[in-house]
Amino acid sequence: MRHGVLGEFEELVLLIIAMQGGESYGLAVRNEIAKQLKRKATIGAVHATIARLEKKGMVKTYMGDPTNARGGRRKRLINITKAGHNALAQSRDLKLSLWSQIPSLKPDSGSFNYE
Amino acid sequence: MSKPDTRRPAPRFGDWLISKLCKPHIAEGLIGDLHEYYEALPQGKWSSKCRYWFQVFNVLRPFALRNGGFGKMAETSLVRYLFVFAMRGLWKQKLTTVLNVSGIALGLASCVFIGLYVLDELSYDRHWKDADRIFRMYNSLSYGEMESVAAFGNAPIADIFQKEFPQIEMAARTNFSPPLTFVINEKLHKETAVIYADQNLIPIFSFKAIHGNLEQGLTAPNTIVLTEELSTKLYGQQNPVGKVLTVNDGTSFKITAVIEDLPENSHLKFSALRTTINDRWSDPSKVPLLAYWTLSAYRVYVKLKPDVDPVELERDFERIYEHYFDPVTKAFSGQSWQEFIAEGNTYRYGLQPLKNIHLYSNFTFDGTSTGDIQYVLLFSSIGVLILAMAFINFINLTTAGAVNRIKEIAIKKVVGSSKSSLIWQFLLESLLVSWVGLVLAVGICYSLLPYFNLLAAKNFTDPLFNHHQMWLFSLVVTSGAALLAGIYPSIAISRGKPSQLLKPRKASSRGNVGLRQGLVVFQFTVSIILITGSLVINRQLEYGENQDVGYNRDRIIVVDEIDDLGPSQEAFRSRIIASKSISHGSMLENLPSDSWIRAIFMHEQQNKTLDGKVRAARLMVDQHMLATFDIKLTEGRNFSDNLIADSSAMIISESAVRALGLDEPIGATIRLTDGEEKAFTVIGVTEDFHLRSIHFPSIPICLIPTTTPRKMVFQFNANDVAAAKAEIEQVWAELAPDQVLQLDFINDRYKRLYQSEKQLKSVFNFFTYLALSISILGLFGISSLVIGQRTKETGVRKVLGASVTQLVLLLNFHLTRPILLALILGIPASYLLMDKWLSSYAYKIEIGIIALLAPALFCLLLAWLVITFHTLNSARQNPADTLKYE
Repeated sequence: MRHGVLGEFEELVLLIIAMQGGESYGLAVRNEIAKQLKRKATIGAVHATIARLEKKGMVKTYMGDPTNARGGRRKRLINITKAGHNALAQSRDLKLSLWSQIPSLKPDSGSFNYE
Repeated sequence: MSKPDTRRPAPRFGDWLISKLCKPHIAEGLIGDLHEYYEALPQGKWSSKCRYWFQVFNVLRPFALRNGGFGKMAETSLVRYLFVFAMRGLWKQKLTTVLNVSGIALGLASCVFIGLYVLDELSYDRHWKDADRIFRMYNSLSYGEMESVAAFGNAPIADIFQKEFPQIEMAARTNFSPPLTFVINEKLHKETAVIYADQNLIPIFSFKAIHGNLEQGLTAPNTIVLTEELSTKLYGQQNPVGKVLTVNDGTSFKITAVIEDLPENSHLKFSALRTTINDRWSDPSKVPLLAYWTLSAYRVYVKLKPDVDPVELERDFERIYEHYFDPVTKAFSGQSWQEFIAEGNTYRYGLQPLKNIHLYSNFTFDGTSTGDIQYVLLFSSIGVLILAMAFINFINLTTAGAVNRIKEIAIKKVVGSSKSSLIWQFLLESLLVSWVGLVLAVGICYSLLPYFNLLAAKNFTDPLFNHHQMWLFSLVVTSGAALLAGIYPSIAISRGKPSQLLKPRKASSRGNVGLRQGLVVFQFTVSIILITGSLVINRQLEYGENQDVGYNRDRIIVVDEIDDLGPSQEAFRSRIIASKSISHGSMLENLPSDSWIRAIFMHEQQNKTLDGKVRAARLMVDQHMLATFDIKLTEGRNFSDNLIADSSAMIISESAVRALGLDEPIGATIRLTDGEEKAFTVIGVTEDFHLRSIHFPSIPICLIPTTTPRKMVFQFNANDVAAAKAEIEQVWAELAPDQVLQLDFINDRYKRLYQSEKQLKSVFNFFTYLALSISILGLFGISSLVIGQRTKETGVRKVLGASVTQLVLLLNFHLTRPILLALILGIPASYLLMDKWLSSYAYKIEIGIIALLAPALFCLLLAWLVITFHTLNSARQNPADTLKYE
């Protein structure tokens, strides 16, 4: 496992965690993926990814307070860490830098011109 | 997730599974997420459950699982390696694997089929509401030499019993109705399955109405209740309630209701219920008193009040017999009820539980039931035997094959494999084999189902996922048997010390071989018994079908319902017998082959003795009957052409003469006691002939002239069937253009008498040969393994000068010993069993030495063929090749 490097799905999950602020938890991430990306992920896949991100030190999880919903069970809430934030920023910067080096892009058609 | 509290929570089992398998700090979050997910799904849908469970199992991933147990196995990928080894093991022994898989597939498929058949038989009449409280009344009579138990009662008893016994909630009668031909839009629809029924039958069986009101279903004259099937046939999707249904004899019915179709596993079978009010025999003002009281033609159903003990109630019945039956016995034989009983006669009613009707009814006269608990038991045991044989193959091949794996096991042990992982490996192998077999069996079941339906005359739609839960049965049986079959070799082999295991040829212990041979003996004994059984059953049934019934039955056509011809009956007959293809024609009321002829009494009055009461069958015929059926007179004369003059004449069969003890039959006076008051004079005696299936000894028969025939029979000349049929059809069309001709062959009617046995025969044959092929498969596998293990020995023997013949004989002898033992056990066992089966027939074949020896020799020959295939192969190999194989 290469520390500090994000896989495609990991990056997505991490972005959504960051987006959701302190309110993020497994199913919420899954539902957000379904809503925004029209992509179906299983609960297991999302939780596994979160576990991996935690292992890489990019998120921290902690148990929330019990509520009436979910049969009184607590949520496992997720917060992004500084390292996670840095990794996202790094990934964004890298991509932007790569984008800026593409020779000529016709913005209206969205396709590349190789001439 | 708007209102979480009102929704049903997710299945508890999911929570439990996750809390057991997952790390505790992860589990709570997961369970919560899953609940929330489940609550957001559409409620109460099957697909929601599926999606939920998919998520549950998807969550069980390495990150979440606890350390140790399943989690650890997954972590170290042991499971994967178990699979790899199991697959390699199976692949290495391709022949054994193929034999195992196919044996299990065949065995399981037949077991599923047999299970379906048996469970269906057992399910008869269990579906009715309150089935426990519903009984059919039966009547048992012993009078002089006559003993009978009949599923019928007299017309008045339903009302009497209901009135006299408060324990009976209600009682109802049914009676056969003559076929009705309905006229709808000028089209004719013939319906044979109509029965008379009392209104009470509806609440007893809780029939459900689709249209109309059942409370007044049969209370008025000329009312009829249709089943959905008949209603659709007659009116399509229309609601026919209130319509008037016309019959071609001029009567008509008012349709009061349409009820749901009867399930197939019901002993009650009808397409419509017509009210008993129109049944002449149920009306005491229309029939002679004696006939009203003694004509047992009604099926009487009663529903008891809850918690009534039927046995006690039956005993209670005794108290009313004298009151009601005293006038009857007086009219019948001049005796009072007390005298009737004092002579040792009995006449009483009993209660037969509804659920027992299909399988346990063994009355002298029943007329409906086709099932037999004997067959159910027979087939269940065949099913168990076949499955046992399939799994014996499995055990034998696995244990025999395991010897070839000893080196593998030993090396694994040396390297440090634990005993439990070795056991797991063997178990996994046998589970894999059995599951592949299961998948194949499922394929076989679905593809052969239509053929099985034909064979067993059933109508199953889905072999596995039906209300009998056969899929569960198959899965449990396969996995259970696989574990059983795998556990013995796995423990036996994994127990040994590697140092011993690595020493060649020590591991195949004696006990192991003994068990194996014992199982082979068992398989072949069963095969021999089954083959002998099918041989004897086939021959007996053939004997029954082709037995001389005492009259010509190959060349007779029957025309039913000649009432439809009106006054032109005689014209019809004479025109047809004038044709070249037909030689004789006769009109009669009932046929000898009709399976239901009412038993009556006849006694001889000449010597004023009443001892001569004899049970006999009465055929109502005309003067042409004897010629048409080729029945010979041994004494006296036939009826004269003037039937009215001969109206009190009677012809009896020789067995009637014997039964009555007549020295001088011609001129004897005989009285029938079934409502006909007049006496008859015997004018002739015929040879004996049979009425029904030869299960029954021939009953005495009397022929009396009839003026109200209902059927016509014609004898056609051999090879002229088509012409005869065409001739009859043509004349019928001319004389009765508006009526449906019902034409039939007496041979076909006769065949119908043997229908149930024929089915038994074909099903039995099928499974017999299946069982044989399973045991041959097994023998094939075993001999290939055993001979494979003796390759070196054969090589050495050959080097030392043994010839191929000597080697083949030596190996064959070794392998045929268990078969020989099976012969010794199987022959006497099959003799005893078949002797017992045959004892239920009045006329039966001798089992004979050939029927006993042929199957045994056949098995032996087949076994030799299979074995020699391997031994010859092995003996012909060049020792130079065989000896270097290590």
